[in-house]
Amino acid sequence: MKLQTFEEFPPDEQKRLFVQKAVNVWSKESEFPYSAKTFFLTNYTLNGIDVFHSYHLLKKKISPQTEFSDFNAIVQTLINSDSTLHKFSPDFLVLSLDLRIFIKDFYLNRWSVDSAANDLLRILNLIQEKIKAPTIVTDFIVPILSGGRQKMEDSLTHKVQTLNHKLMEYVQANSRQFFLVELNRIQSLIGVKESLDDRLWYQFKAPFKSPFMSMLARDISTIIGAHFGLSKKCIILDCDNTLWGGVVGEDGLNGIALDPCTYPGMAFYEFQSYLMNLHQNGILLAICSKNNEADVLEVLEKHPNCILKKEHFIAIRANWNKKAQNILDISKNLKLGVNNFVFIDDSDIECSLVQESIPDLDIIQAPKNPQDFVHIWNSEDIFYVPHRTQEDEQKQKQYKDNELREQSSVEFSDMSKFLKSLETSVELYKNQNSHIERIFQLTQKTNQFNLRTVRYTLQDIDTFFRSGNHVLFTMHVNDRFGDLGVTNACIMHLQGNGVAFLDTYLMSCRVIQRDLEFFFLNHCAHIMRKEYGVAQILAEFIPTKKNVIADGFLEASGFNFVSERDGAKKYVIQTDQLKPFNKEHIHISGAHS
Amino acid sequence: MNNLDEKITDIIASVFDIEKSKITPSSNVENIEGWDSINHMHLVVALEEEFGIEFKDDEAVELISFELIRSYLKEKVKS
Repeated sequence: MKLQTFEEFPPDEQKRLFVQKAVNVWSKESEFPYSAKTFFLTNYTLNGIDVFHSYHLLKKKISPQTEFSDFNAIVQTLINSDSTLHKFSPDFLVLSLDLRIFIKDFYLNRWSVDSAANDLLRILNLIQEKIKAPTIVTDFIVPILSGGRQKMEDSLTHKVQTLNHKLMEYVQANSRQFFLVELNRIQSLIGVKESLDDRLWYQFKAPFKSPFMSMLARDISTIIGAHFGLSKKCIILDCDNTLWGGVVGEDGLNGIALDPCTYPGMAFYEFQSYLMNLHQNGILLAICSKNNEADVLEVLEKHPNCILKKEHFIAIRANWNKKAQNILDISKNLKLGVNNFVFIDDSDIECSLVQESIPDLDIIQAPKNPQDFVHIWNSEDIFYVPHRTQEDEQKQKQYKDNELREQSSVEFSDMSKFLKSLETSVELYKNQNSHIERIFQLTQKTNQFNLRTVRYTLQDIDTFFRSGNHVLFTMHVNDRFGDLGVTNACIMHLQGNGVAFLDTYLMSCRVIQRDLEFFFLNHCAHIMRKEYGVAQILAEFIPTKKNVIADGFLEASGFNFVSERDGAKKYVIQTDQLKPFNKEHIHISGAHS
Repeated sequence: MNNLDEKITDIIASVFDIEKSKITPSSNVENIEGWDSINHMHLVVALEEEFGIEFKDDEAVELISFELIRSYLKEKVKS
């Protein structure tokens, strides 16, 4: 499932009717792997959360049963063994107190923090004594008052913050049973206007609006889900434009954006800091990236601003395999289910491809705009870890061992179906004047899929264009996600006697693994045969540090190996032996010559 | 049935989780099971969210039948 970062907290989920309808449908299904009885112990009216609570649990395949305490009868409910609470015998308890009811004349501000804290502790201790169920407590919303004229320690704001602090300390000291949900965080995220409902407060002592209750229910469901092992344990990360800005294979170690002071590098630096924090809290990190492994390791080891080092990753899969395959591989080696993973990648296509193959995996698409990376942090509740034990620390080591021990390959789901779904369409060009500049750019900057990596100046390309013995092919690619621009270029050099030399053949890495490289070469070769009477095409692969991905391409395209010298391999093909290329998933929208 | 009636039917049916066919213009607080004070509050919130309006206190307590809901909505949505 594709997750939304907070900014896109689904608007539907904030509306009572939508949520109610979903619950009406889901609750009629009979099979759920988990079930949870939750009791809401509150001193105000929170019954409105019922449907949101059910919704977020059902979404996790947890069948809900919910009961609410009577209005403002906390202590009685806990002590009385005949109370609805004890009869219900909940799996989870939610304790939520509104200070405006909990403290007499709250706004008059003559109450003492110490005595309020004592009352609070008495309730918490009573819960420990009477109830064994995991207990989720909410903090107190800090009132938005100007406290300018009061001494700071007497202000309502400060007193509420002190209570929150004491509550947090208690939860930490009793972390086996108690878990905290921060109402203040929810209010900060969605704003006061969408949080508090004054009319319902005064009429029914029901303070919250639907969006607020939905977020609160979501946070509660995350904690409940974690008890069923549904929490996230591992984040699998792409590299380029996710861990750093830019493409390391193209921009090089010094060209990528990763910097503590200046934007955009700063956004990635902060994102890495945040990931480091999660790592220290026991979340596993892994890399799954289409890159040369050496390039990725170089950044991790040598980049001065790279916070995350090789040892912080439980697995590093930087290669040219399908990402879904790498992820399933990691899952198998770590012996964790895919529902314990979150995959973060900036590419529409990779996200869709992975989603197609592993529907149960949660995927966050990294924002196109680096400044939006903070929104990923705001959906942090998906990484909620209820307990952090010694075992967890040992587990990190075990996971690492597993990863080292096992080597496996995982079969992949239907690739051709996916390629079709991309709706790739191409426009083919030959000797197109307006593409000269683009061909020049591509020869200069393409490092990975580039057979010979010969760099040409604009002047060179212009000379080829006018020479009469060079043929310049280009291809413009579109898909359902948008315009990818001119991504492929091919320069054929006519050498006379029906022989042509494949001088330049390259492809931008943004369209890698769609078989476009095969399609385009096949097309160019056919045109050479038909229009230029070329019977034989010579080709060459010159290895560099960066172009491993293009090694083997010529063989795979039907070329015959001739000889090798200093690592450079020479090939040949007779154009009448060209095989028709299966291009079912590529639509030709135009051919220009 | 016009659009407004359909939407009201849909909302009432969802909030009280009953079949749409069981809701008629004569449905009210007396003959719909589960129409208690808490569900009434949920019904009012759902109507407000779906129509993007707000009811005043005295209006909210009067929305206790299909006909009354329709008449208040007609007024609100117009203005």
